[in-house]
Amino acid sequence: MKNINRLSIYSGLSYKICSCILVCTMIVLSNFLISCETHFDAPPYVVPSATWQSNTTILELKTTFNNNLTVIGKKANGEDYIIKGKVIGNDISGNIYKNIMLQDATAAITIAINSTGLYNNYHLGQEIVINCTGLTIGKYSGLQQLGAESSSGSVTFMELPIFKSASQLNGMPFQTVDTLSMTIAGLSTSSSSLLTDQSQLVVFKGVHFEDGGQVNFTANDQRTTRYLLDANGNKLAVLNSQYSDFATKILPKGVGNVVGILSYYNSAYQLLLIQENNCYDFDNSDVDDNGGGTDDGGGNTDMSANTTILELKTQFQEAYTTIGTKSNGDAYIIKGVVVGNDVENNIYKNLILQDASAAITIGINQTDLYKSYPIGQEVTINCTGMVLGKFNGLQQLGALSSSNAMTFMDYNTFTSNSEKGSTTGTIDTIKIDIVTANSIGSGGDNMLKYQSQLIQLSSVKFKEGGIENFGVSSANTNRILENSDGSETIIVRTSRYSMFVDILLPSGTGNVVGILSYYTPDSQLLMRMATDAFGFTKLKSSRNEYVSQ
Amino acid sequence: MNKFTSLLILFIVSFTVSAKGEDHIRPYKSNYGKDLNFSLITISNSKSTIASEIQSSTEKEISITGSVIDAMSSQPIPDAKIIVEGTGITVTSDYRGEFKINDVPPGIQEIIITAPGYSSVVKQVDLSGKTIFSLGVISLAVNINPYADDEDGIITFDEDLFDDESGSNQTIGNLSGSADDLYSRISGFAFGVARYRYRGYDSRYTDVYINGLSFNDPSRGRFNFSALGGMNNAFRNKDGVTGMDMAEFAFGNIGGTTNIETSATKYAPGLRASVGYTNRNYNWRGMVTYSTGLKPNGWAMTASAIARYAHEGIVPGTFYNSYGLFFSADKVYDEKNTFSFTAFGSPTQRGQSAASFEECYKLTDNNLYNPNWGYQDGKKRNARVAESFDPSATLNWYWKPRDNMRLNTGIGFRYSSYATTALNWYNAQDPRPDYYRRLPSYFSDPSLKEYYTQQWEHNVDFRQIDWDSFYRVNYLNNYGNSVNGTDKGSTYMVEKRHSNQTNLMFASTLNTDLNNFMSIQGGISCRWTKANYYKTVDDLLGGEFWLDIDQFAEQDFPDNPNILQNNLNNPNNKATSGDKFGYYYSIYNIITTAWMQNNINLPQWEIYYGLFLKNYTFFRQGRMKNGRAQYNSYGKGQKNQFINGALKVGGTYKLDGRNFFSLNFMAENNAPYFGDAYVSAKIKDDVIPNLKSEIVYSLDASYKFSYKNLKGKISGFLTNFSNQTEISSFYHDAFQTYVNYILTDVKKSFKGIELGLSYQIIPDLKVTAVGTIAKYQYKNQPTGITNYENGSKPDTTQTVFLKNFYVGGTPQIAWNFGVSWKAPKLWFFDINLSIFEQSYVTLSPIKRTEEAAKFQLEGESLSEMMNYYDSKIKAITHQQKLKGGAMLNLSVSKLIYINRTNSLSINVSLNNITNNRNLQTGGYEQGRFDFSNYDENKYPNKYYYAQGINVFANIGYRF
Repeated sequence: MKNINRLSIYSGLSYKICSCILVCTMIVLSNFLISCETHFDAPPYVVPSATWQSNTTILELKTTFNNNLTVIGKKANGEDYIIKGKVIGNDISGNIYKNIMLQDATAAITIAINSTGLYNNYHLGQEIVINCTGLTIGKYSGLQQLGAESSSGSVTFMELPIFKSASQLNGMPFQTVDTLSMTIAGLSTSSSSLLTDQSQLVVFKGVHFEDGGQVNFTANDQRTTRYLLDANGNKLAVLNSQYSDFATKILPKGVGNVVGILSYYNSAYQLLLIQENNCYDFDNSDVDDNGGGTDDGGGNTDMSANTTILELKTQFQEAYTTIGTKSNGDAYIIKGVVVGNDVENNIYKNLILQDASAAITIGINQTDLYKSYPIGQEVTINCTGMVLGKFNGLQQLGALSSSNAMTFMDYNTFTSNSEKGSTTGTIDTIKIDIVTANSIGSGGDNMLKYQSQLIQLSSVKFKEGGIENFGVSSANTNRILENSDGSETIIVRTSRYSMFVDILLPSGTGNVVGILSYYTPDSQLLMRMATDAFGFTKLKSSRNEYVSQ
Repeated sequence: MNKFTSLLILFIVSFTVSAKGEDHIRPYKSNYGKDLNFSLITISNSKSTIASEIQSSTEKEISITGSVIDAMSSQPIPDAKIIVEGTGITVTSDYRGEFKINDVPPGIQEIIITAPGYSSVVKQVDLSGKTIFSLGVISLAVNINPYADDEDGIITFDEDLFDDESGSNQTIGNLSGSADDLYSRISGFAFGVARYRYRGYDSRYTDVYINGLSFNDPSRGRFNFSALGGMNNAFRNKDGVTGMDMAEFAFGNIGGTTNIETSATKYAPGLRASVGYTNRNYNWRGMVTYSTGLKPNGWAMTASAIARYAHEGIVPGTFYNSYGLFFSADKVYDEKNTFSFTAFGSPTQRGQSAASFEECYKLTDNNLYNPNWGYQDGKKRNARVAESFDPSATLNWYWKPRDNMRLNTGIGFRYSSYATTALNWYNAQDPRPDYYRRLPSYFSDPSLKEYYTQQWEHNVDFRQIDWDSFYRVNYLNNYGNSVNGTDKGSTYMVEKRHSNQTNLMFASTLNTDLNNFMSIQGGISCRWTKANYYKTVDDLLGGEFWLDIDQFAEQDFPDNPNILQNNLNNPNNKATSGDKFGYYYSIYNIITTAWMQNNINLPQWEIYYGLFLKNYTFFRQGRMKNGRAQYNSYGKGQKNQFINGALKVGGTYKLDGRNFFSLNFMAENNAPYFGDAYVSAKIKDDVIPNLKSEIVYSLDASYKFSYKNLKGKISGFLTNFSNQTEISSFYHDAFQTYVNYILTDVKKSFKGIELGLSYQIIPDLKVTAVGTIAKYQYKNQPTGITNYENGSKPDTTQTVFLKNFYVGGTPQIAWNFGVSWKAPKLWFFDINLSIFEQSYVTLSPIKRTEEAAKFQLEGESLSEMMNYYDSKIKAITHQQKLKGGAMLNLSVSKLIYINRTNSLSINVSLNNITNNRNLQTGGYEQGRFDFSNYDENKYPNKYYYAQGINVFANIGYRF
């Protein structure tokens, strides 16, 4: 066979070397090429430098085009309108949306741009030169701004690429800007003030938030208006967005300073916070919001009680009555201390008010009432116009539903007809026994005297003490409290939403405090919090925690 | 650098090994006598092959012998296939080119002799009255038809031009198929450009083995052919069957089965080198293969190397760097035992492309527009770079205790690493250039539309990624940190998503004759896998660190610092370059199988049946404690185990030597692959609710005829799937959050007809026609489960109305007509036309639910409203058909013999000569739907287009 020749040809060493070299070269070459393709150097940062020169102040621009909508043309001398300013407000926290605010020595202006994340390129303190010729300027609900024309002929956001081609960044950001010191009382909506003040970066010193320390920046996951007040009760609206990163934080308590953008909406200024640290130096003090009285709503500016709760309850014992005026024409005004509320969610949408004579349940259509009306809060209420009636035997203040049944009154109705006093009012805990507690029925002296009262039952024991929890999360629960020999019992009712629902009922003998309520045909004790049961031989939650006593 | 060095060392070692025994040249036949008369053991189809011993035959058994040589050089051709037509008997030639076929039925038989790279030869013999028949020496002429599966084959192993949405790349071409099946051979290379899938099946239904070990990826069941590195020469020895036909090395699957044999003795000795140029995803290819053939000392060695490179492929912004090494060594110990070792690997790095919107293709006037790249400092940079490397090794012991019995036992190892980069951003606008809010179609104002159109047409930084802007934003963050004392990391960065696997495999396969007409095959196998999934920070783009939290959970749960942690064991981690972040988990998997089949081969009938059993077990090991699944993400997860079985049965009726009727049936259930079993494996251990094995029933029937000049086969098939699941993840507008959408209890039905026809007009002129007409459809209304990735709500369930919609992504009608001419003076010409139709976009389920039908009805009467409803619901649920079309391809080849043994082959292929750039090769509906306005055009489909005219020019040298 001719195989011999073939073997001789390729076995030669020279051929070996040749093919080896060929392969190795290819491998080396390709490896080199691979590493070439993926290595990317970071390009150096070039500090931007604007080439355009400004020839107009922001105030001039706003004054020249002080109307609802115009497309900016050229100046009289043929030049474009070019302004220059620094960014004083942007969307860094999410509170401001698709806007930046620009400030120069004369005024400030809002610029509406259809993009989120504007702060990434337009940081606070960044100087920008803008060629306004060709852009649209106008007013949206009174706020003058640069933007675009919407299909309905009003001002809307301009597209980001359009803004980019009309602007030049100049220098590094975070340069200092001017913060104008203002007072709420000194705010003016005169046309000249609007031009200089709208969209400006302002600071208000010595101001406090209404409900500071009690409510969040936004409520119910919606855009919310809060109010800043000065010492004289002058108010400024503060608009907070649910998308800001401080939306669920609590409003600062006490008196402090607030920085923000002075925005404008429908004939009134509103403050826009840029970030959470715009509220600073708050002293955490208790502020009395009753001075000024512009937020009290109807009737008398000076409310002083002229009726006891017992008198009120005695007077209106029907199924329901709308309280009128007294014979002398005065409103029925009571004053009491909050002894029961929804602090641990066992009581729902009710406040229980107590004075020296008796106590009454007030139904108010609002959750988290305890935040504004903590236990111990003194309240004076003008009851005229409210409805006093009975719901399944429990006498209470409320309103009438469309089908003439007792229901809760609106929160606004309550707040506008009441005044808060001191938060450390005197509280009386009435000690009675179970027999008396069970006798409050739906009529008679005991009803008037003890229904809704804050009572204490002493030397009692829970029938299921040590066995069951206070409640269950699937339903409202009745627990049995009995006297020492078990001959008398009373219901202790725990809501499924209450915060102590998982705590084990204490075993042994102790004391229980609560609101003495009624639901035909039984009395029921409503504890306000887990610590209303105290002095028991041992108290231990099902989660192995000891409840403080 | 490590993998490169180790492969280089391996390659150098291979040369050293082969250097042994080279010192003196001996003609192996004359001086060694009987000592060297070992036979080569091959693991091919049915009957045995022994070279020189003459076996005594009984009365009715006839043997045929012969030898196969190269017509020009007269060198023997090892591993040529000799087929007795219509009997299912096939043998392969040994290292000396010699063969012997036993137990041939008497009468007139047609013998086909074929080898890769050569033209087939057919001999008709009359075996009456003989016991031993010698065919003598058969010369085969080199055939440089590029569409034959030859050593310099051009098309089969390259990745598709485009990766699909998830960045994975399904096989193109049909890897399996027997050498003589015209339909599978031609459909493999001609239909690949349209992303054709055999019978519409996902490629997981095609089993691929290497030396008897299963190499389908255990996480999704698909074979990753790009692991072969495009080394066509090294991997050209394939044994396979189409569809459900019976194979002898495995139980098989409905989509066909292939065994790639890399035993070093199977390669003809010599050195082959080639250099090629193309303008597809790469430009240059260099390949070299060297084989020693079987040496007197019983050793054989083959080595191959390849490099493929493009600085920029035909799709803008893509690049390609790949090289591969292959090494195989055999030791023939004695006539009963051979040991074979193979190792190979192909590290590849490439820049990827992506499907985009019709609007973008029109705006850029380029159907190959690629949104994945942009300029950085004047250079093109791709955000989606894929790196893969699958080094594998097998060690086999082939044992042949006697004639007609073979046992192949092997162990294998595979380490697969795959990583792809992607952009990530925090609290910033989506930076992808084809984000819908940056397209003119988003605007109703005509002046804005015009403005954006101008930007797209003239501003390259607008229509591609603006890398420089990312660096600027990150630098400003750094500057703010230094000036204001804040602690901000990168706003934009590039992350790298890794999935690595370690596989250990064992398999043993037996093939033995029980008697003259019955044989059995069977085997057991076991495969252990550890798969690791994690992502790392690839490039901080100038920033200081990347804060490892989930920004969608941050926005939905602003008060809960735990829920937005990706790793509660390392909260608020400031990840820097190379750090793992986001997710890190492993999946452990064991697959054990056992199978057997029995084949009965009678003169008029051939019948087989087989059984298969599989145990598929896996569990997840979480390595990060995710805040959205605190108790269910870290540590060892639940073990999931599935026991599967399969049954198949079939037969062939041989009417005469020329006409055959076949029927195959298979029923199987398949465990869900662990890559598809988890709702959100990155976060938690939960598997899809009611996870169960799918059920498949499949039936096919065919008629095959074989006359002198006309050969053909027509088949019909029907396959039903049920209990399938499909998962997709997307941003759900109605709930403003990311969801994992799971379709369960899906039923599908695939049916169709295939035809393969070839007619020899004159001996050197042949005409072929190959095609399929099929329907791949959903057949029920599966249940859809919406799972909220951030855990904000419990799962919700709904019915998805999918009945009779098409399974997208593959043409249901595909045809190829070709003419090939073997011209004088060793020229070869081929021209063929492919036609593709009826391919549809891949569906998004949420458009086809009741929620999507809750739009406001317009009209002033009930009938007007109903009319409005009908037309609107049709518009919403319409499944877009892809644009089909035709492609014309031409190929010219010339073979030049320098001398008897050295030859030069030159080939130039021109594909898509008419430059048809309107053919859509793929597309998909977006997961999102506009639940505010029910505008079906708000989130349009994305498409891929075929490349225009392209070329492959190759020069190969053989010596």
